Amino acid sequence: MELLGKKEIYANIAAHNKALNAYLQVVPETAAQGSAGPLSGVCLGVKDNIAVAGLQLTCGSKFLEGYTAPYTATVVDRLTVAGATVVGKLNMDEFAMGSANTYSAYGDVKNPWDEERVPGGSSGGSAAAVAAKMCDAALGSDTGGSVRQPASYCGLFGYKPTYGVLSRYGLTAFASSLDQIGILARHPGDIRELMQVAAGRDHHDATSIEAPSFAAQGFDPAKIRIGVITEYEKSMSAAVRPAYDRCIKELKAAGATIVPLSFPEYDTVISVYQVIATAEASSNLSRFDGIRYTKRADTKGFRETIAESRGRFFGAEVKRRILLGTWVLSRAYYDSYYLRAAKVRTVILNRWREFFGKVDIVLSPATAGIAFKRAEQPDTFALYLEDIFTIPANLTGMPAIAVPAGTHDRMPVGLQLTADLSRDGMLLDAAGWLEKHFMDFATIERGCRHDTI
Amino acid sequence: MTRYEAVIGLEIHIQIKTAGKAFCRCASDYNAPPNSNICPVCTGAPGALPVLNDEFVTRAVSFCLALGAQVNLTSSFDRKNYFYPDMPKNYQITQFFTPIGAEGRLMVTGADGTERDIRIERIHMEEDTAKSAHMGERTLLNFNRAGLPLIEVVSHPDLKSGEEAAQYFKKIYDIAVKYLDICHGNMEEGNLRCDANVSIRPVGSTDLFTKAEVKNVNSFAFIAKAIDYEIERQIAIVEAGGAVESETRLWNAKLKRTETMRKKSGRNDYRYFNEPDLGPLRITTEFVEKVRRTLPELPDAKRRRLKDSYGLNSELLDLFVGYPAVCAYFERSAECYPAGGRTIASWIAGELLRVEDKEHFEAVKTPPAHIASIARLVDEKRVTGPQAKELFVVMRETGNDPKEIVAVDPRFQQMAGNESAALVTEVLDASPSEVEKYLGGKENLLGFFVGQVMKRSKGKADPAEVTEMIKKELTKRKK
Repeated sequence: MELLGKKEIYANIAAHNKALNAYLQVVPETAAQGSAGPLSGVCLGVKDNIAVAGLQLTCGSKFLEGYTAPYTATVVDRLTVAGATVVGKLNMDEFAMGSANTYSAYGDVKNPWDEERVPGGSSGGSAAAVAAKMCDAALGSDTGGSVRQPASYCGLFGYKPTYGVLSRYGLTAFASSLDQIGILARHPGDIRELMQVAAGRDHHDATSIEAPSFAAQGFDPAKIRIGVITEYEKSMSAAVRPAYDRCIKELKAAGATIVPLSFPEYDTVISVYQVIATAEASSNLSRFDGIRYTKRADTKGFRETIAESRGRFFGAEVKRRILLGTWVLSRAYYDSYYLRAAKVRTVILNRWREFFGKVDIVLSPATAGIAFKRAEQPDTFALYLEDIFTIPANLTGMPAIAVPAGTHDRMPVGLQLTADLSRDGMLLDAAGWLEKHFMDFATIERGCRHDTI
Repeated sequence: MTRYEAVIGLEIHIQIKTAGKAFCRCASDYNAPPNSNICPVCTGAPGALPVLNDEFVTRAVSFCLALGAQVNLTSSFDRKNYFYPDMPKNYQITQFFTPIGAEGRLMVTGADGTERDIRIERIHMEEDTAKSAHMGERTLLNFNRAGLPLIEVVSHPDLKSGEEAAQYFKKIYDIAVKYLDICHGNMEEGNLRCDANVSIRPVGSTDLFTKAEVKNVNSFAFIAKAIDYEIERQIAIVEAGGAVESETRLWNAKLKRTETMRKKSGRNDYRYFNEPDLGPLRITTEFVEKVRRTLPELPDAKRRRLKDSYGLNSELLDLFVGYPAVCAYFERSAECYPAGGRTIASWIAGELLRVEDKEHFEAVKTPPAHIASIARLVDEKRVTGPQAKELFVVMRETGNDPKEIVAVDPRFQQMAGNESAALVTEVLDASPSEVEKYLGGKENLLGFFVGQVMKRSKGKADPAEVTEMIKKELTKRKK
């Protein structure tokens, strides 16, 4: 890994964090001591919905203000045992619900490329911290694109592993069947090194699986079939289309076979995702009741206390999703919403398995456009549509990575590679090839404002 | 006048004995100091995940097999969502869509003496909640109990009386506690909890009136009383032209009646869905068969076998089926003297249980072979009844085998036939008036003569032999 060094990182935090609002808690420099190991010297930022014993765990919510995690997430534990140091806890949309980091109870996060713009979400703090070199890499969480979309908005690599490859133990659940911890980094090689330590089955997580190989295998585009989804062309903005076309051209020039694919269900993914994610969230978030470990609005009677606490300490977006999730699971609507969404999810999974019978990688944009200005934030539903390219990987459990691909209007543009289940190693090989050979990558490297300070 | 019959179904929760909790590795001893056996998982800390305890699965499968239930090779874990302070996550992990066991059966004996199968609808695995204690305005929570493994057994509404419900509950208790040893069986601590759904209907009708749920009838002392009270209460309401209300009721032991706990207003919507943190539970046929091989003989089968091989009466059968340790003792004893089953059984029931506790029979010091020896000595008329009773005492005191005791102890030497004959002559000669009365038709005096002879023999004569001798001698004197 190319390490910045603790000194530089703490200097960058001192210089930029106030403006960017990425870290909600910073471990004092003297206390940030890593042990000896393969990851010695690696300074890691951790999204504030991942537990690190002794550090705060707010999930970006008022509800958990002042709460300290009593244990450490498996992924963090493995990385720190291997020598990495946790530098601090990173801002995020409340309970990971949002695409712009404007739903944090602790203030908006600014995009280091342009502070008037959003960094993306929900792992906005993670993206801003990596882009502004306030850490070597950051952990985020990705339920519908929450790692890949902010990585794309901030000119970074943002990787969501195959479902189960990283243990979820210690990640505050949003939608358990979709959630994965992901990594944001400046280089895919950094991600690979972290994954070699963090991946694999965990006896604390029944959904965790054996780690696929993360050893570099080399990547020859001439032996690779790249799939492109015809229906996606309708949803790309003028901001991302040129980068997408250039990337296809360069891959083709390097000998890759380009295969057009049809994904007729593509316009159902947002609805399916909204039903499943909010249903699971409504249940996962019911533990926040003011009874045990969170802030309590004391009133008479436990029902009143629970209702008052939830009413007062959850933000509007979280309440909106809990209400929707409660509704789709209710007896009268279960069949027509939740059950139907689960069935369509299976159809989508089968479609993507079919894709990987024909191709090795699916190339798409990571996001429909570039980071928008906070003042021009789209309405709630338009914001949900931002996730159209990232959601399929969560619904199918497949690994996907956002790759920087040049700029538009002096802001980064991101593309996305998706591979079949457990082909994570090959996916990182492909990202590594693009980093080396895709000419637009160079513009990203020097683009970030904080880079040049 | 309309006659009514009761329709009763039981829902029984059984706390399962495992080293860890259902979904974490905390110790399952909830008598430890409050909140000492807890972790992020069983307190529902953010980010904690459930991991199924294998031992729980093994025990659940053994219980399903013991109830003759079909074991589902794929079953689901599901979330039951509702808010309650003693629920760490505000949802309970249970098995709603597909339980581990379905369609079991258990036999009860009806009021008319006929045996009948009670159908079991489902057997499922779930987790317990924390225990709350109320102190004035405050409620204290002990999470030692949160996450303990529970099995719930739901019967079809096949039971017809409080007595049948009691039998069924006792049988579930016996299987879980005494046969499979998967539950501590401490009722005061709520190891077994029983709720009864009770309704009535006109005899012969198939439609159901509104049912009431009587909660916590988990006591052998009052389960039958509470249910019978509830049946009578409902009949009285209907006969007075009223309608039974849907509600949850509790048994008041002092006033011996059920009382309203809360009215049921509409159905709760638990928003069940598959637990995404666990995925379906898949087990193999091989696993089920492996568990089946570890099962002990179960009550219904045991009863049939004991009846067939030893011809025991129903009282003895109840004893042995209800107390597996006593039964095991009996069978070890009967192995030493296979023809003597009935005698052995009555010696265990009549004498040994006078001095030993059937609840703690494992600790009995008298070897089963010694009881077999006494039974054999009795059957072979080697000792008389009174001698046998004394022999039992000596055996308990010395710990020696009765066979050896009678060989050396003069008290148990049997009187030779000619000695007994001499005593018979002696007694009859000494009681001329009684002899005369006997010969005149008062034949019940026979017992008096036998008693006199036994007394003079100090119990060493054989009463049966003596009786025969007396009869013969008296017949002779008649002529």
